[in-house]
Amino acid sequence: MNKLGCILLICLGWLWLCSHQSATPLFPKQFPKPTYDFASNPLQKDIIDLGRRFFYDPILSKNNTISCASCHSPYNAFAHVDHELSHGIYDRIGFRNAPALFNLAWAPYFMQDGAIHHLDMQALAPISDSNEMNEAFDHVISKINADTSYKILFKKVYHQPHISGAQFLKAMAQFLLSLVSAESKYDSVMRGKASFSQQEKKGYLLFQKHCANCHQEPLFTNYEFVNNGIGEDQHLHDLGRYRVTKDSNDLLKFKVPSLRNIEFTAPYMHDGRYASLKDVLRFYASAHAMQANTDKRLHNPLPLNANDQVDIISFLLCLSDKHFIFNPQHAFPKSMLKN
Amino acid sequence: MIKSLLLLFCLCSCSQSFSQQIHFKTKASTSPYIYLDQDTVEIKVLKYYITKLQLWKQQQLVYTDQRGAFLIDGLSDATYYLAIKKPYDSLSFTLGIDSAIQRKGALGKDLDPTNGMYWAWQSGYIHFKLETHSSNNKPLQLHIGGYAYPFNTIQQLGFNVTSTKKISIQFELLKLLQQINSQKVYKIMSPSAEAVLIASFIAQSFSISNE
Repeated sequence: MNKLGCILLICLGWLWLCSHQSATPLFPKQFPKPTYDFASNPLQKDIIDLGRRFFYDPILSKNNTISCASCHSPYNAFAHVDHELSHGIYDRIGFRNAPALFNLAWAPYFMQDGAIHHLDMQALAPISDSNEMNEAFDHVISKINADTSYKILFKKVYHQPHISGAQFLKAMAQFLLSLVSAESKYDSVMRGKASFSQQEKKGYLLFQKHCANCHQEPLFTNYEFVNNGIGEDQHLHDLGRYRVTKDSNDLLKFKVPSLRNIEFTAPYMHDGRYASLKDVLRFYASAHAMQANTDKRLHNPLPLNANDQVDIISFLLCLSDKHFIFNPQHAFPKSMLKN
Repeated sequence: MIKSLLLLFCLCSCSQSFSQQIHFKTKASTSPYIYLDQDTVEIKVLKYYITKLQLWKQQQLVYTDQRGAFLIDGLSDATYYLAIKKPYDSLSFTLGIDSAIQRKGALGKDLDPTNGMYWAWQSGYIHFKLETHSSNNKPLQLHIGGYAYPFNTIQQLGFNVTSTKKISIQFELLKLLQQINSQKVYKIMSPSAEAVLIASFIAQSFSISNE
C-alpha cells in the first residue's frame, strides 16, 4: 500500500511538473543581453499560453468585440496591414499606425513615443484607450474572473479560480516575450548557412552605409527617438516624444522602429503615410523641407539612385522571418473555439 | 478598496517591543462634504500612496516598514500597527511611488493597477487622486503623479514626535482646497509643472497629532 502511495505521489509530482513546465527564454546568440528582467517574471509554458489566450480574446474590450490581435495580426508580424491608422471599438480610428510586435525583451520602452516604460504595463494603454478597447482595467479583470473557462485555466496555472491585475499583466507580457523573430534569411547568412544574392549583397552594403546608424544590427533599431524629417501630419498633429516629455527638443521625434519583417508591416511611419517601401526609400533619397530638429544624419537626402533603392529593398526583404510569421505557437489558440 | 485596514506585525520573540498605532485620518472619512466659501464640495475620490515609512531617533534610523506601499483611502480611515522595538523621536514617509518601484513592472496588492491608481497612456502611478463635485460647478479632477525630472511630484514628509502614544497623521483637505482654489487649477491628468505645484500643497496639508 505504501509502495503504491509512493508511486502515486511520484506520478502526481511528474504531472505537476509537466503542467508547470518552465520555458527557456529564446535568446538568439547574435542578440545582445535583453533589457527585460526575466527573474521578475520567469517564463512558464502554461503562463505564456494563458497570455496568448488573453491576446486573442475580445473580452478585453468594453463590448467584447476587439482583441489585441484585431490590430496586431500574427500574419503581419503583429502589425495592422493595409491600415494607415488602426481602427478599434465602434470602428473608431486610432491615433497611430499599430506597430509590429517582436523581440520586445530587448526594447527599453514601448509605444512610438516611449510613453510606456515596462512591457508588463503596455497592455493597459490599448485596453483603456477610448478609440481602441475603451474598457476599464479593473472591469477586464472582473470579466475574466467571472468567466467559467478562465476559472478552470486559473485553477490549473495559479491554483486559484481568479487572478489579480498584476498576474494578468505578467501573463500577457510572457506571451509578448515569446514573440522572438531571429530566423530570417539575414540571420541564416550571418550564421553562414545561406548567402545573399548579388543584388541583396549590394543592398546590404548600401544599408550599412546609409541606414544602419539608426537601424542597428542585429535588432535593426538603436531605440533612439529621432525626427526623420517627414513633418507633422496634417490631421492628428502628433508631436511624438514631446507628448511625453513636453520638451521642445523632442518635437516630432518617434522611436526608430526595427526593420525586421518590414515586408509584412506596411504601411510605414507612425501615421502610416507611406504605403510601400519604395515610397519610404524615395522619401529618404529626395530633398524635403527640414524642421528645426530634423536629425543631423538626415539633413541631406541619402545619395541613393533608383537602382540603389531597389537594391536596399531587396536586402530588406531578407529580414522577413517566415518561421516567425507562421509559428503555430503564436497563432490564435484553437482551444478558444470550443467556447 | 481599503475599508479599515489593520495590519499587525507579528513578532515571535519580542521582549521589549511594543505596538504602535499610526492612524491616517482625513475629515472626509466622517463626512464627504466640505464647505468652502460659498461652495459645498463633495469628495468623490480621495486616495494616496504612502511608502517608505521610517522612524528615527536623534536622526538615526531605527525602523523601516517592510511592507512597501500603502494605498490610503481618504474616505475611510486607515490604521497601521507597527511593532517597534526602540524608542523614536521622529517619523518620515514618502508620499508617492519612487522610480525604483515604478520600474519593477506589474506589482500586486496595493500597487495593482486595478486600484485605478496607474496611468494607462503613460507609465506611472498616480501618487494622489482627488475628485470632487461642487455646488459652484467647479469639480476637481486631480491625478497627481510623475516620478522623474522635471515633473517629479514625489514628496518626502517628516514630523517630530513628542509622544509615541497613538499617532495620527492628519490630512487637512480644507487647507488643500483653499490653496487649489487660489490657483484656479481644476484638472490635472498627467505629470506637469502644475502637478509639481499641487504636490507641494498636498505635502503642506499633512500634520501630526496624538489622539
